[in-house]
Amino acid sequence: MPAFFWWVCLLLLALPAAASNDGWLQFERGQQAVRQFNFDLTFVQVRANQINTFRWLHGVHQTDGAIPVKTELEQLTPQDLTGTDTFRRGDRVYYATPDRPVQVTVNHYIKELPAILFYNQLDIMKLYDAVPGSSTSLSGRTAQLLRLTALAGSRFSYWLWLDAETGFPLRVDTVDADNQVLERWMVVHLQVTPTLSTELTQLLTADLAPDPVLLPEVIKPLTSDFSLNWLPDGYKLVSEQLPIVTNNGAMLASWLLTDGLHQISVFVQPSAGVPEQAYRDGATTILVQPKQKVDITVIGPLEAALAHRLANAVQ
Amino acid sequence: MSSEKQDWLSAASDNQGISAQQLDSLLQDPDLQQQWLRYQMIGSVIRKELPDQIDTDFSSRFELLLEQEETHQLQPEHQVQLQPVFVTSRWNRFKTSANKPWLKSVMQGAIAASVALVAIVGVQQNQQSPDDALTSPLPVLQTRPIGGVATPVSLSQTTVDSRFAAQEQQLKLEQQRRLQELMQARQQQIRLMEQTAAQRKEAETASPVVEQQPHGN
Repeated sequence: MPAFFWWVCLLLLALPAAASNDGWLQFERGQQAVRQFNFDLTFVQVRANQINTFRWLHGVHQTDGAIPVKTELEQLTPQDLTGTDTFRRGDRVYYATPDRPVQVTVNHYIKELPAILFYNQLDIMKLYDAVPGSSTSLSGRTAQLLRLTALAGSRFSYWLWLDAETGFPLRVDTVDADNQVLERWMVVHLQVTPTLSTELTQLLTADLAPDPVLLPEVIKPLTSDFSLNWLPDGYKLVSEQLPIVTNNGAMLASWLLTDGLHQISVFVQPSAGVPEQAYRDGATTILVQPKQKVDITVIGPLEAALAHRLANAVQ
Repeated sequence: MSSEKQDWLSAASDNQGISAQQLDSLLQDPDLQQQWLRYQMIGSVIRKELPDQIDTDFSSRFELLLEQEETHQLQPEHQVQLQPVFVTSRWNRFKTSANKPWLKSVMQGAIAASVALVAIVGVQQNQQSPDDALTSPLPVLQTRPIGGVATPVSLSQTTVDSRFAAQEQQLKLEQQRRLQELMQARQQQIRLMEQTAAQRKEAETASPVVEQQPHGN
């Protein structure tokens, strides 16, 4: 039934762009693959100055009974550094960091994985154009290139390589307007199994932390002297915001912007007397701009010029 | 054919020109030579150059004379034998033994080793040059921190550059720590986005009396 609904929605929306219909069908297949398969894979995340390797297990458990209930199980483990082990059981995500209590959140996917593989396709279709490309060989498999080209210049584009046989995404490149690769997510080993792996079977019955702690009621700082008078195209302000606790320097104001798929954070802190700085961490731009007596920090997947404009929009 | 031959032969005997080819044929063909002899004789008779007594057998008698001539056997010259030189000094001994096969191979090995040594020294010097670049007075513009800001920054990663004064370095470190913290805050924001949205929605749909829950860390 949901599949049928998807198809109808897809067809209605994709009618004007019938040419790219094929691309979106491929994309849908890729998104379904990471949701439905039982798999054990290793991927690398390549950025300009670092490479990180992760093992990602995923499985679907189905209860026996009149009404079968499906539960997605997932595990994300860093392979080359001691970091946070992430588990997901249904809509609960558990972050297990050494020497810290387990953090429990409500999420439908692990946010550290490429959001493009999980985010609602109909919303992605509002931001991107899907164009199938040539096929190539990746990790001994035939992969079909699918270019998701940003409709607005304020966004980076995605190049996806999907396994021709299963539709499974094998590689995701984040590219800028000049087609320069900023960040690469690449599967280096993939094993699709018919049944749940033992690790995930254990996770199914594991005694994990209780429900997530309720977040404090958000109280908007009424006395804030700062406001944001411009937003990049397609982004809107997230109204539900938590106060940010920092050890170094007070937080005068902060905003979280989202277009659904991406998030941009803007922080205002008292000046630390540093000159303007801009860094690039993969596809994420980090801009620190001093202004009068404050430092404005913009972090998000956007071009440096736009980050400047956003920082200047803080009044 | 013979008339042709005679034409140029008679012309030649009258001191006319003769080609190299005609000369060759004259030297090889005894008939022609005989003819040549006769023409000369005729010419001499016409010019009245003949002596009173013609010795027509001169050539045959000369041949006879040649045969009677004593033959001289040439002996090969006595070859000089190279004698080993009496060794007077160590250097001389070395020089004389330098051509011996064992020393040749040793010398070749020594030359190869010295070439290899030069190569190694050269490579080592090449490898040393980046270190020199680090200590050169010109500062290198660093557009991004060495360890990157997204990974946890340790003290050792920023102390590579000894050019900066301690204060500046402290400031830089402080800055990196601050950025690190902001990155983590952002990660937290993203992780909790769905939850806060769901909670807000719940609070709006629920009764206006919202139970205040203590916030655990």
